[in-house]
Amino acid sequence: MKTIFSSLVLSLFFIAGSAQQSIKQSKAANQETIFNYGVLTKNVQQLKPILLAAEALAKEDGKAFGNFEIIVCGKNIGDLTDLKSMEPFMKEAERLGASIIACGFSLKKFKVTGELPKGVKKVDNGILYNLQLQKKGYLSLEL
Amino acid sequence: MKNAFNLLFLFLGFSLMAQQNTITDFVVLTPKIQQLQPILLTAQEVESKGDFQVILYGKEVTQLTDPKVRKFIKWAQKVGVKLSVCNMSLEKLKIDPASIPKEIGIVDNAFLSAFQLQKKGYKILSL
Repeated sequence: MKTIFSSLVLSLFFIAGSAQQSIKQSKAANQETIFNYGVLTKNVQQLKPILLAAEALAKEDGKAFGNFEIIVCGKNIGDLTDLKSMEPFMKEAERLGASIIACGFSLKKFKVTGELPKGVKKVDNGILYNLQLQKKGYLSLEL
Repeated sequence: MKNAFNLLFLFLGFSLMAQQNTITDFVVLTPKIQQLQPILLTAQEVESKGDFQVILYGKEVTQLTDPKVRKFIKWAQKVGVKLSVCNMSLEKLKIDPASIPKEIGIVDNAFLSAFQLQKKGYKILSL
């Protein structure tokens, strides 16, 4: 009888202990969490709502706001070379610390040879890059 | 003696159940109204105890004022799926939010909502 009671008390003690430990761990994780975001889009016009979302998230996250990377790919990638219409997006991205990235594979496939706005980075394969960001724990949207 | 044993097992059983019963929430972001059919079928199959939301955006949101959409609205209600539409899309297409069926929620920016839900732990499918 005594053994049963002591094992009951012991198991209660262990369960309570592990619960407390997990609460502590999740609290520690919350304190250190940085939110990184990746968006893959085929439509340059979507940069406006995407950057508005980035602005709201930066405000909401405060110090926890990490990277915000926008990858442009697909047949309309040539729209990135319209420097005049890209100007407000580039300014806004710079203000927010967001990156605009062009998919090298799409540029080649759709024979885009024009100049990209200053500040637009290039990666070999936008889809691969997006998946790599997800592997790193980025929250992701593919539009 | 027997009672103490029962109590011990009952307690351990409950604590194990509490650990296993994790709830999964889902969000689907889509610009295609016709995709509501496979999405709602999926929601039915998933039988999640969690939340299931669909956020619509883009040109096709004009179709939400069409009476044909009612069947999807009823179906979504039946399977507990919350439908929402992006207000930025409504504004761009000059659609009066009042013309959207009241069962469909309106979010300011579909992309922002999709990220906010992911931050809360929702699994996302963007179509």
